[in-house]
Amino acid sequence: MEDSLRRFHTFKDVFLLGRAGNKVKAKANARRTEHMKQRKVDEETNTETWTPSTKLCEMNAWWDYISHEIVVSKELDDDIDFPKIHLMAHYVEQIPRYRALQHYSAERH
Amino acid sequence: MTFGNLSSKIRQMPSTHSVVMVALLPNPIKNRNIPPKRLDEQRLDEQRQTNREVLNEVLQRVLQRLTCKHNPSAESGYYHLLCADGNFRRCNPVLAAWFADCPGYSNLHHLEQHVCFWCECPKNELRDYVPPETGHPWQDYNVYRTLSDAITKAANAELWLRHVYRAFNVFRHIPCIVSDLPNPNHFHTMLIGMLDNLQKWIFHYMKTHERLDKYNAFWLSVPVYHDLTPRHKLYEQVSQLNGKEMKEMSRYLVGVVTQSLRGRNPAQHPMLNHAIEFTRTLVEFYIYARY
Repeated sequence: MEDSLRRFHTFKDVFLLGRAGNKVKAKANARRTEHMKQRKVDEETNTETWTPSTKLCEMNAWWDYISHEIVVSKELDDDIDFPKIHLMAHYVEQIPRYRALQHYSAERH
Repeated sequence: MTFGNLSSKIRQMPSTHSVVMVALLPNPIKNRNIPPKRLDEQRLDEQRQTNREVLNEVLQRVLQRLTCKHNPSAESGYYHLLCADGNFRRCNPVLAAWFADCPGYSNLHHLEQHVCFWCECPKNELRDYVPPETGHPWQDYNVYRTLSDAITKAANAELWLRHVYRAFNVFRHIPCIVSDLPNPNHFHTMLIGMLDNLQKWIFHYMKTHERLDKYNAFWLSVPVYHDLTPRHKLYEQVSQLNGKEMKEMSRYLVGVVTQSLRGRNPAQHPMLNHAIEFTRTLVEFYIYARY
């Protein structure tokens, strides 16, 4: 069990992006809104100088930039820190003391 | 209330009356005194506080007789109890496990949310691997009781640092090892806690790496073998998996994930291998814990 737990902690970062909590999502959305406003300001400022093709290129560049920023934001803010991961460490101690978990399971025995 | 030395067969038969209802834990009504203009989060916090206080009040009434204050002999761990035949006997009652999920335990122990109720692990270290020999100190309820009784700023600061609420908690007044009360609980920690989250993580991972179609195909094609229930719905079409389905899922999840990530791009190879390895270790841990 201990070896499984150690390896679990070694590889857990691979799912970091999948564990975006509500706070992280809200923060990322706020950042996205801010970037969208900047994009709009940029568009309005250069509306006379940009040709349609330039505008398309610029908008695509903006979109790539915003997507990248959101991913980075989620990576930086996200954290697998919910207590159940920590509780698994106590299982490793408790099971040798109290044997298997069956008496504390919701199953019918 | 029941007795631990009864066999599960007898304990689960209602006709044997082996489980006695002592009290119903109330679900407090909504706090109407909070002005509606307050922020939602504040309202929720105050409601949670009210709920916690009501729960502790009820537990205090239920367990009052076991506290050291009402029973001086309790310090030694023994009680002189009046039995049904009218005689007093010297008993050594042991409080045993109860079922609750993580927020439930936090309320019972009067701790902040997202805190370990076994040890004093700081909140920001909950995700880290702790080798068994370098564990954090256990929750010490004698210290909490002393700090709660001392009305000083230093005591308040100490309680705040340990993520403990300052209020009466009956478990701090009963001679028992409170850290041992929340015994390992398969259902809330492993099935609903970890395996359900693992499913969500895998789903997002497959979506990000454009493997969701493959994953769904393999998910549906798991053969009905060794009493496995046939699958008719994709993962995203299922609103909730029950305990039995989770248990069954643990038997084939690693295979499904491995097959879904086959034929992968060599550039992504190490990362995809990590995903398989992560799934394998978590399922392995779950199976060891059940064994």
